[in-house]
Amino acid sequence: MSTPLQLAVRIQDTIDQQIREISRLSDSDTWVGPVALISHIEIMRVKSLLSSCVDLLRAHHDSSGL
Amino acid sequence: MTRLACNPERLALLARRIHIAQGEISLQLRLAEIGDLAMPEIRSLLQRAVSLLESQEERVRRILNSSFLNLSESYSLMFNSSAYLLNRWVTHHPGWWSDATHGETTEIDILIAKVAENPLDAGRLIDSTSFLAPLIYGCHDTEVVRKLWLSATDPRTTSVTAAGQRMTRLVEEVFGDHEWRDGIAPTWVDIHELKQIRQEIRDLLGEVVAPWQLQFTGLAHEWRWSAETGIHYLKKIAEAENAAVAVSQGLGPALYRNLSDLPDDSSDRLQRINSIAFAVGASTELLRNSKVRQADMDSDHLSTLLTIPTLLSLKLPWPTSLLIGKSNSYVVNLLDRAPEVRVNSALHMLQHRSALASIAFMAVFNSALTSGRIDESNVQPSPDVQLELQHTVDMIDNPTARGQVLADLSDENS
Repeated sequence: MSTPLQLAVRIQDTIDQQIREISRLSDSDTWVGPVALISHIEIMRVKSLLSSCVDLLRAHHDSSGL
Repeated sequence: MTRLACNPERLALLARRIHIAQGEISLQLRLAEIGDLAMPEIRSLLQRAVSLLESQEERVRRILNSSFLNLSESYSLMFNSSAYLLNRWVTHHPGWWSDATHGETTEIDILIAKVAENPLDAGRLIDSTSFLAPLIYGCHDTEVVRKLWLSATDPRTTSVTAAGQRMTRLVEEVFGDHEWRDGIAPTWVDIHELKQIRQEIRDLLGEVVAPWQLQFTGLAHEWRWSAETGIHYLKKIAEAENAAVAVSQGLGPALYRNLSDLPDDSSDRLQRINSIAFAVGASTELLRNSKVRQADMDSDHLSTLLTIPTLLSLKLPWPTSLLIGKSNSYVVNLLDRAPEVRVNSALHMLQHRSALASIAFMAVFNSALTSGRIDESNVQPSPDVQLELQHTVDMIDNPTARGQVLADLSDENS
């Protein structure tokens, strides 16, 4: 079973690798036409939600003293 | 910084990456539901992240699947790229039709050429479009169209059903009403070149249709259309001289292919032989009526006979009398005084059927050998197989038809 810290690390990896790649591919600064419909802001919102998860899990880990 | 108006490869990659990330976060969501990790706040955050990614993926896929082509199940980047750009080009460039007549390579030439030689991609491109006309008339170089359609309907790589779906759409598009023409933007068209393109398309139709011509008549049920409809189209195709020659050249190989794989059940087998014989009768009659260089046919069928991969260990086929050129002496002598064109046409049709009967005989013989109905160690096939072989020959080339031809010509000359 995963600990909060292990889950936090896993989510951080998702941010650092997959979300970063999606962010690069959907960057509207380098796109016009159909891709402009892909909201870069929404991808940033996903990143923000995942970062909050990481913070909460780390806080939980610290407070539980594991 | 590069500003790209459209890059379907990048879009497809984006869709894939979003899907993978969604899967990973969904897994984390399940982990966050158990034991020490069961924290409602974490679950809520992860759920919102998954929902956002879902909506993004849906948006990307919607763009990839837009109007003219359905690319939902396609992940080949080369194919997606060509198909998407083709879609976009046709949608936003109503003058595609006239481009083909302007004496130079068109955008559609370039896009189709990328997938034309790959049977899988060529077939997929045709199947995924709801608007076939650009894949027939959009190229300046009809060789590209030829390659596309030959790849997508090659009997070696295409199932009967898939070929049927593609071919019926093709002939309906070429010979049907072209409502789409009213919808395209008025642009300058080189009438002479337009006529030439149409003629070249008619010519290449024969080549595309030739391996499947039996499915236009006797085997029409395999394509779930009627023999009347099929004959109607085959007749129209054979009106173009080059197409008729291609149909004639393809008849022998088509006959051999369709007779080489016969059902195990004897009555089904006879039924299939009868259907194919009907098809041969229809094709030869249509070709007789078209202005084909009939003399070419005999050498076509002789070539087919020579290329048949015989499974016999050099035993003489039974009956040994079935050889090209030995069947027409009686009728030839009787009709020798009739007007030359009509007589030659009728005689060549009979010779044609005689040659085809030999091909059919070899196909059924080899089929019997392959399925174990003929024992290789015996010189003579069993009486049942002999009857089946004789039946095959008689169905394709028989005295009744010869008599009918003789009577028809005698009536005309009396």
